Amino acid sequence: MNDDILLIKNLVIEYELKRYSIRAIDDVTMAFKRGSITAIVGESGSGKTTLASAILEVISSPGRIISGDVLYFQNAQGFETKINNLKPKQLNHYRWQECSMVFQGAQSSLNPVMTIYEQFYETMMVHATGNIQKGELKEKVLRRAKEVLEIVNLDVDRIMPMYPHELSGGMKQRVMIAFSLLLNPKIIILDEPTTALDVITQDSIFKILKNINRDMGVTMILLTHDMGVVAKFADFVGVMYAGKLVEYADTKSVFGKRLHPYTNGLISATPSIIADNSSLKPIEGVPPDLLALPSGCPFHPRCPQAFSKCPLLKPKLIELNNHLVSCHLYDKEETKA
Amino acid sequence: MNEIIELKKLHVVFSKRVGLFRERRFHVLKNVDFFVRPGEIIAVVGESGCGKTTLGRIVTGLLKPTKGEVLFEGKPIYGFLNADFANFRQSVQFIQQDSYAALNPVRTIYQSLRAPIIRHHRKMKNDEVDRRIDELMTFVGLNPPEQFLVKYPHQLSGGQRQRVLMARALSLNPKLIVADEPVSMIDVSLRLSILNLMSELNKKLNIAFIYITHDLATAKYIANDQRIAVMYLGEIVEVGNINDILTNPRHPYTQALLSAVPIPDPIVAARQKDIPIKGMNIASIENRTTGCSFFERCPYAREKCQHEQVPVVKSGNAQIRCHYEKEIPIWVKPQ
Amino acid sequence: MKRRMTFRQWSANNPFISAFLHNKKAIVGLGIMVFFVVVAIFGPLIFPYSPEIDYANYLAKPSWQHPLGTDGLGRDVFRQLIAGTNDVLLVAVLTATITISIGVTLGLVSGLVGGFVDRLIMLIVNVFLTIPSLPVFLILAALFTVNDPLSFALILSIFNWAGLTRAIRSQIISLRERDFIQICKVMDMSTIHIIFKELMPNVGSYILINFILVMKNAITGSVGIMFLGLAAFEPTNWGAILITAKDFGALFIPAARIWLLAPIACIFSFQFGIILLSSGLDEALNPRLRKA
Repeated sequence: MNDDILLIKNLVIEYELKRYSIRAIDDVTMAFKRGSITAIVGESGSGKTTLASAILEVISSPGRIISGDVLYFQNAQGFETKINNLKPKQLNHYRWQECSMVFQGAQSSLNPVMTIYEQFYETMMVHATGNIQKGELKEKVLRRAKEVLEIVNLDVDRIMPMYPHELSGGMKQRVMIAFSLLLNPKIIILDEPTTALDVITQDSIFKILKNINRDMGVTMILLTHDMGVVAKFADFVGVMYAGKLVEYADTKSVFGKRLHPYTNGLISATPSIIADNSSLKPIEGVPPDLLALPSGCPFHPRCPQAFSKCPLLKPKLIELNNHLVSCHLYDKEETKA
Repeated sequence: MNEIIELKKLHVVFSKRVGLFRERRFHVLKNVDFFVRPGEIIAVVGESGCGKTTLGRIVTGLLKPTKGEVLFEGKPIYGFLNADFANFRQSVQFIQQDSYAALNPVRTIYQSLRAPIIRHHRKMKNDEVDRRIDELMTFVGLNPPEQFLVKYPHQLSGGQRQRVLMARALSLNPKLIVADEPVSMIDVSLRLSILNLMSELNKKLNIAFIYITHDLATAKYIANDQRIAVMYLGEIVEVGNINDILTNPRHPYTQALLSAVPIPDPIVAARQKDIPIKGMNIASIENRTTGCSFFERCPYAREKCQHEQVPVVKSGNAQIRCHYEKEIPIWVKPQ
Repeated sequence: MKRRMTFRQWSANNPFISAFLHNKKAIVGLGIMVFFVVVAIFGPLIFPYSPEIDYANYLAKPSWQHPLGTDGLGRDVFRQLIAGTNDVLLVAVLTATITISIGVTLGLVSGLVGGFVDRLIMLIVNVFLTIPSLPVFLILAALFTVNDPLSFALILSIFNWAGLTRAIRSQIISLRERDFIQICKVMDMSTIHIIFKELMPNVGSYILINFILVMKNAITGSVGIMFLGLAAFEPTNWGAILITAKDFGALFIPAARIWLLAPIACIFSFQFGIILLSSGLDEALNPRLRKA
């Protein structure tokens, strides 16, 4: 357990609307190893964005954590903090200083009427402790900005006085990454950090992220639906479907074994410029409707390997040699031979 | 003269006034020569800002070029009289990227499909029109039709809406359909079924397709053994058979692109080499008219590349725009 | 399956209608307005009013015969109000119709044609938006006598059409560039079709809501004009009753207070109904349109 920096335990999150509730996260247990890059893969309705919000404790109403915990282990000694129980002041410290986030589409994350410098300054001012003089703070901001902008290969003098609209998409995203590093967090969550960016810029951004992970030991959680990106940059992969974790293991094992039929379907539906495309197949059926989930395993209507048990019972998360999967195919004790 | 659509020496320049006297000119498309033959699928690939969407708008007649000719079946469309222009319009259709924005939000699917059919077949009786609509819906996989026809666009999923767009494009019996990023806003697991549908339309009805995308992998899937055109900053830098180009890319930009595309296989991905490109920032499309648009980022660029107009040369089985074609090294595919 | 759906099928399926029917504000507002319409049409038939003066009966207390008492000249207040509903509604609807017609036509032309025509129309709009209403009303009142609802409506429209024109124009301009309009060009659809079947349905809800709001402005405006003595008016118009009562000194005579308050209550409830309805419509129609 000391190996993990974050542990999500039996988390259940629901959105309570006027006439009904939607269960966005259904009893998810997932661990994130310290210093790793973990990808969470899922399509619409999977719940991955809600999960990320839970880690940062920013679930907005009408969403609510019904049960379960998000546990944070600041250092290897294993002293745990329940994020969902933190008081506002502690949360303030946790957010951005321990765990920060790079949102999808840098467009809406940057204030369009403030220069980059002003935004850095504002963030550092809010988190400043003790009595700092204005001049001291300015110096601190400039120094730190230079450090983080260098990591993302941007020129401080050029970037600081600019407004967001003067930057290209790739530059904006790099500024967001620099922003997330401002207070030296231990975890960074990245939500589809490179959609809308071209492949070449995407590659350079991931290389920057990998360097940050390696040199600074920052744990990264990457939310994506792009299996290519996962294969190239992630150490571990968690696959989500309809609010449940259906498979989790290191990247090579997930791609190699593809225990869960959904994982297999997803990878088989991803065209590649190299491989032979004749074995590609889309996944049958439609994405899960959280208002009307199928009974038992939510994937069963689309599953080519579904059998009699699947519509009846929700599968439990099982571990097979460090490989987690939630599927009746592997429920050996109860499956009839 | 077999081509449906041909673009000759096309230039599109947008100007924006800056200050009182100055103007900024954006060369969105430069020196483009392009054609599509009946029944063929050609993929047009490039990153955002390369001009591929503008190319699509030129082909569908939504945008008039600043210079150059747009030929439909050999004749320039901007010289057409009404009847010929109407014929052109009917023969070239468009499927847009954002399926929600492409449908009128306050009209049912039935109403949106009915309008173009009535417009082009004034003499058709009501139940004939209804039958045709049912036919189209079934063809694109929306069965039973009634279930979808009464709905409004926001009540359908992205994939279902894309199919509606295809049904609508089909209803005019076009010879060519321009599809602009048709699957980029759809879940990964469903993309193939939309692409398969397009492939079916192409094979069964002999409709040509221009498939515009930034995703090389889906381009490969759909264009199969046909052509691909790679664009950079308003120019077509490489064009030829897609299988040839993906195994042996000759233009440095194509090589960089192929090195950057992530491959969904961790073992192969680990062996991917660094991208042969200089610098991270894409140059702007402002004001550059002479020389090679890739000059600033090309690892093999030389003096000549900055100023002299770049010729189109044959390289392997493809055609590329380059001064120093023979010196571009062979690209090695990661195994 | 018969495609021309029955009205019941259509309204059951139509998300806009069901959103409307589920919105309490809209229903209550609609109810209030329907109530007044019914009163306007059937009221005078059931409770006819005759303006005979009956000094003996003046300022009578409410009774079965006179539910709201009588005014300073012995006339039944309740029946006056009923008779006046007709006048009030007429002025409101006429003003709204004229304003909307001008606003939509000019807004459409301005937005679609663009260029010189657009700039000309916008120039006129800006002029009208900057003219102060009061002095203009005074001048107009000196020049023309306003004694029928139509002229009243025309005058009230002068200050309502400009803002609407500009708003419709910007809606048209933004709709013009949308994908689903662009595709109409690719499909060679006629301009008539684009205007009436594609653009108008999209501004339809906006027009409807504005129609109701202009009605509200018209009523407020008309009461204001009458107060300033700038118009000769139908004596049963609620505003007219209010003014007559005020002039009589009803503010200081306890027995006359009902006479003063009754028209105020009518104006207030009618306006309230309008506000509820327009607010409810806005809620019901817009989120649907904005959903991505």
